[in-house]
Amino acid sequence: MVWQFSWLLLAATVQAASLSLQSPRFTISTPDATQLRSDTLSLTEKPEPLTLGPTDTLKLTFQITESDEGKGVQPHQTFLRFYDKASGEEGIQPVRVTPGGKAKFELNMVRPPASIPPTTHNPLEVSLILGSFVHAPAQYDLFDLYLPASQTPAEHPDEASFHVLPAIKHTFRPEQKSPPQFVSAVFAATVLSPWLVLIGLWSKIGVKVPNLFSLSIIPFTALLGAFEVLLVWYWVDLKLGQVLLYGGILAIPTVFAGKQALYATGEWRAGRK
Amino acid sequence: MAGPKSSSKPSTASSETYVAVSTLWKSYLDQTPDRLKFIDAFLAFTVLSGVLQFVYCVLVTNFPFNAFLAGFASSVGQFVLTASLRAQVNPENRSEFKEVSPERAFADFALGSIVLHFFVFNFLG
Amino acid sequence: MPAAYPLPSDLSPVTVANTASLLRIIALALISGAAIASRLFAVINFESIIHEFDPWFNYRATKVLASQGFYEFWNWFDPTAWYPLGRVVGGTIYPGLMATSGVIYNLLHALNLPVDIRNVCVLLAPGFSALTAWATYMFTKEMKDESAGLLAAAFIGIVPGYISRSVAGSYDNEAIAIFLLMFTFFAWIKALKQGSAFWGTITAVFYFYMVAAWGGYAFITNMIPLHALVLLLMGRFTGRLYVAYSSWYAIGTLSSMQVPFVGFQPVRTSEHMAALGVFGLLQIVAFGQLVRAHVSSKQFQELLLAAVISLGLIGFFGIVGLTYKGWIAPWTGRFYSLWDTGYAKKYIPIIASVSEHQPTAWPSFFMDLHFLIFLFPAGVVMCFRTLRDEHIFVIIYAVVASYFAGVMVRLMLTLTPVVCVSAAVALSSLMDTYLDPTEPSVEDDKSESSNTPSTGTSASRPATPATSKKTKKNKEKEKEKEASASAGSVLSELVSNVTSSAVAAKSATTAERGVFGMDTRLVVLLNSLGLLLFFVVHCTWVTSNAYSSPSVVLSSTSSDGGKNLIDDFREAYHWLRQNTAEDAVVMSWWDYGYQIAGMADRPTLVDNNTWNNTHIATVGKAMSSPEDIAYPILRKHDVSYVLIIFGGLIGYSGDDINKFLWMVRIAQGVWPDEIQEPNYFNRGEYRVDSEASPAMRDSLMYKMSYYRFAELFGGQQPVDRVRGQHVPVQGPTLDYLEEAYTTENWIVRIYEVKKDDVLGRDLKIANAFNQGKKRKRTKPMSRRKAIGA
Repeated sequence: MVWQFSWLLLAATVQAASLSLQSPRFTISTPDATQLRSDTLSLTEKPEPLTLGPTDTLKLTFQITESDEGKGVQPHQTFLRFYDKASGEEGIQPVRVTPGGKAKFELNMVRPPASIPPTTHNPLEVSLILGSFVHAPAQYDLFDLYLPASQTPAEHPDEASFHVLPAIKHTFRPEQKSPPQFVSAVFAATVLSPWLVLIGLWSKIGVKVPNLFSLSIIPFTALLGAFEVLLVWYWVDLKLGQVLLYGGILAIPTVFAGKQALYATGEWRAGRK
Repeated sequence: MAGPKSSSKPSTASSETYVAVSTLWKSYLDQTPDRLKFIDAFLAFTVLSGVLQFVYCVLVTNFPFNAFLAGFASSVGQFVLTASLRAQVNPENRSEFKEVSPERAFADFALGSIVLHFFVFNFLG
Repeated sequence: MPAAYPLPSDLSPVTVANTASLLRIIALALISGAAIASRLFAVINFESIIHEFDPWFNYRATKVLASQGFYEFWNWFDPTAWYPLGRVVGGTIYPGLMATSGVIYNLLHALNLPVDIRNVCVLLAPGFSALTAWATYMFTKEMKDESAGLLAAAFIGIVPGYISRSVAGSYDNEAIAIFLLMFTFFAWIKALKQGSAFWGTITAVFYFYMVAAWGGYAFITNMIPLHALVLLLMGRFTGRLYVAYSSWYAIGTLSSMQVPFVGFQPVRTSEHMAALGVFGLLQIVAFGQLVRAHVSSKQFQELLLAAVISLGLIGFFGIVGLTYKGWIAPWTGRFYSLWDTGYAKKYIPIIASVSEHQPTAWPSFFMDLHFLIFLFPAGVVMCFRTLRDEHIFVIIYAVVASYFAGVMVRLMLTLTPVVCVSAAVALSSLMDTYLDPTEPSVEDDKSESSNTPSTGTSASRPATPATSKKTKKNKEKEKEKEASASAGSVLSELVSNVTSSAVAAKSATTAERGVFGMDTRLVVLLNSLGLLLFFVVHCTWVTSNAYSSPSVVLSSTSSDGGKNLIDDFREAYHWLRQNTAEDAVVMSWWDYGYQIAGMADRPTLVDNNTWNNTHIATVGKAMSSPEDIAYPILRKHDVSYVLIIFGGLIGYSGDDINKFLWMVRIAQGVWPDEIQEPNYFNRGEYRVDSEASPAMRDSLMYKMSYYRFAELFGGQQPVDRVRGQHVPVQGPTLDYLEEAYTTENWIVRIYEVKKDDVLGRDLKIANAFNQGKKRKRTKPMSRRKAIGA
C-alpha cells in the first residue's frame, strides 16, 4: 500500500516535465534515390496525404526532447501506429530511438515490415505514440498515408462461429383454430340430436320402470346421479385429489344402496318368473 | 350386438337379400323382449352420436383433439358397456354367463360407466 | 378303494375347509415375508441407499413430488438436466412409481409416522414384491388350483430373475410394474372367465396404472389382443370374450391416453393398432353372432360371412393405408430391435450401448430361474392338456416372453412370472399325482389329478398330519397341505412340518401295496423336495452375491476374507457438492448423469434419459477428440468440470475406457467425417498400452484416464488392471484441463476445465511457459499480402 502511494507520488512530481517532438521530417524517394517529396511536419496540422508507390521508400526522422530544457531524451516506448479507419485494421511498429532522442524510421514498400496492416484504397492514419515512466505520455497525429492496396486479410478461422448471433426467434406451431361459431353451433346441435332419436325410440317401445321410485331403488339411482354430478364438477372446478377423495366417500353408501336395490330387483325378477 | 343397426345392413340389389334382411328385421321385432329393445335403442343412440362426432372431426376440424377423443371414446365406451350389459341380461345367453346375474350385470355396467366417465371428463380438458 | 397311507376321516368338511384356508393365509404371509426379507440383503450388507442409475432420478423426482405436491411435479421443468436445453420432466416420465411412493409417504405422514422419503423409496420394491407374490397366487389359482398358486407365489417371491430388479433400493419402474403386470393379467383372466364388465373395468384400471408406471405396458397392449385373436381363430368366441375385451379396451385405451408421456400414441402408432384391430373384429363378429341368432337362412349366413371377412379386410387395409399416409406412426426403432438383434447396433447405437439391451446369454437363464427353467416346458405342456381359455393365455405368454427374453437381457423380467406359473403348475401336478394316497387298482392317478383343479376350494383338508385314520376322500387335502408345506419349505421355515408329514408317511409304509407303493412316491417326492431346497439355496446365494450390490457402493473381499467397501462414487459426488459452484456444469458420460444430478446436485450435459442423441454424440465427440478440438466444445457448453470413471487401478471393469468405443460409435453417427471408429484400434485390437493408436492416445478420455497414473508406480511399468496391459511410463499431459479431484481408489476422476489464459495466450503455450520450456522464437506473420505476389 505504502509502496504504491509513494510510487504515485513520484509519478505526480515528475509529470511536470513532458515530452515534445523536434524537427519531424519525412522524405519519399524512389528506388533510384530521386526524392519525390520531402517536407517538415507540423504538429498542429496534418500535411497533404502522403502517397507511396509499390517500390517507394518513406523516411521519417525526428528528435524527442524534454519540453523544459530542450535536452534530447530516450522515451521508454516509441511506436508508430498505422490505422485504417475504414476497415479497423491497425499495425504498431516500434521505433528505435537513440539515447540522444534522435530517431529514424524507414518504410520500404518493396519489403514492408510485418506490422503494416492490409490496406485498401483508404488512407492509413499514422501517429506517433510516446510512453515513459517519468514523463506524461504523448501522442502526435503525423499524417495520412496512402499505400498500394493489398489483398483483403484472410478470415480468422473462428470468424465463422464467433460473432453476435441474431436473436433467437422461436417458431411455434400455428395455433389451431376453432371453426366459426356458426359451424360449431350447427354441429353441436347435430351431435345432440340423437337424444331426440333416443327419446323417440324409447317412447315407442314404451318400457315402464314400475319400481323406480320405490324406497329401495331411489337411493341407488340418486347416488349414481351424484357420481355423475361429481364428475361434471371435476371438469368445471375440482382437482384430482379432491375428486378421488369425494368419490371414495361417495362409493361406500353407493355400494350398500346398490346391493340393496339390486337384491330387491332380483327378488322381483324371481317373483315375476 | 346392435339390433337396429341391422336394418341398415348393406342390401344389394338382389331381391333375395332384401327378403333376408326383412325377415331378419321381422324376427328381431318378434323375438326380442322389450327390455332388450330398450337397451338397443340406447345402443342406436350411442352409435349415432359417435358417428356424428366422427363426421364432425373429419369434415370440420379435430382441433381440440383430446376433446374429440374424449367424446368419441365416451360414445364407443358407452356402446360396448351397454352391449355387454345387453349380452349379459339376454335370457338366451344365460348359459354363457353363469356367474353374472342381470343385477350383477347392471352393477358392473354402473361401475364401468362411472370409471369411463371419470376418464372422459379428465380428458376433456 | 385302497389307500397308500392312512388319512383322518373323522373331520367335518367345514373344519377342513377352514383349516385349509387358514393354512393358505399363513403360507401366503410367510411367502410375503420371505419375498421381502430376501430383498433386504442390500440394506444389510451395505446400507439403506438408492441403487444404480435410473433410481436416482426417480428418487429425485419423488422428492420433488413429496415436497412440492402433485401439480408442481406435473409441471416440473428441470433446467439442470441436458444443459443448456433442460427437460420437461412431467411430460417425459412414467409417473406411476413416484405417485405411488408419494401416496404412501403422505399416508404414513397422515398417520403420524414421520418416515423419510428415502426409506419409502428404498423399501418400495420389496413391499411390492410381496404383492406380486399374491397376484401370482391369484393368477395361478385361476390356472389350476390353490396349491399351484402357493407354489407359484413362493417361486416368484424368491426367484432371482425377479429379485434382480426389485431388491431394496432398486427404486425403478419395474419394481411396481411386475405386480401390475400380474394383476392385470389376473383380472383379464377373471373377466374372461366370468364375462364380467366389473373385472374388465378392473383390468382397465390396472392397465392404466401399468401405463402410468412402465414403458413395458406395450406388452400387455399386445398380449391381450393376441390372446383374444387366438381365441377367435380357434372358434372360441363367446359373449364373455366380447364383454371382457370390449370393456377393457374401451376404458383402458381412453385411460392410457391420460398419461402425458403416452399422449395420443394409442390411436396414432402402430404398436397399439393390434388392439384396435382386434376390438373392431370382435364388434363385427359379435354383431354377426347376433344376426345369426335371428336368421337361419343358409344364404344369409353366407352373405354374413362374406360381409364379416370383407369388413375385416377393409379395416386391416385401412390401418395400413393410414400408416402410409402418416396418420399412424410406423413402428419405432426400439420395436425393430426386438426382431432384428443387429438392428440397434447398426442404426441406434445408443440403445445397443446399454448392456441390458444385449441378447441374453444362455447361462443367465439358469442363473435367474434355476430349476424352474426345466419345469417351465412341462408346465406349458400341462396347459395343453386342459386347454381352457386361460391356458391358451399362458401358452401364448410363454412363447412370446421366451422369445423376448432371448433377445434382450432386460426382458427376462417379463419371462420370469410365466416361468413361475408354469413351473408351479407342473410341480403341483407332480405332487398331486404322487401324494394322492389312492392305489392304482382301477384307474391311474393321472386322470384323477387332472380332474381336480376346478374343485379345489370345496375339497377337505386335514387338521394335523399326526392323526392317522384312513379315508379315501382326503386325497386332495394331503396334496394341498403338502403344497403349502413345500412352499413353506422354500422359506426354510416350515421344514419341521415337512419332516413331520414325511414321518407320518413313513409310518404308513406298512400298508404299502400295488404298483405305486410308498417307495416310489417317496423317491419322487424327496427328489422334488431336494430340488426345491437347492432352489432356495441357489436363490439365496445369487441374491446375496450377485443382485444386492447397489453399484454406488462397491465391495471387495480382501485376501483374508474381510470385506472392503469402496465408496468412491459418493466421495466424488460429495466433493462436487461441497467444492464447486452451484451452477457449475459437469460433463460426464450419460450413465452418470442421474447420479450427478441426484447426489451432487449439479447441472449435467447428458443423462440416462437419452432423449437427445445429438447432445450425447457431442459429449462423445468431446471425449474422443484431442484436447484442442475438445476444448472449444467444452467451453461452448459452459462445462466447468469433467467427470470420468477409471477402474484401471483397482480393476473395476465398468469404467469409461471400456465404454469408450460406444462414445466413439455414437459420435461417429453424427460426425462421420471427424470421428472414425477404426482409428481407435491398432490393427484391429483395442489397446491402451504403448501400442495404442494415435487417435486413442490423443483422445481426451485416454488422457484423463491415465493422467499421472504412472506416478503411482514409482518409476515401474504401470499396469492397467482392467485391461491387463502395461501403460507407458511416460503418461499423457494435459494442457486445457487440470486435475481437480481423484478419489481414494481412483475410480472417479474430476477435471476442471481451465478458463481462458489471463494473458490471452493459447492455453497450450501458457502451460509450456509455466513448465519453464523455452518458447521457440518465431517471427510474427505479416497479415498483409501483396496483390499478385
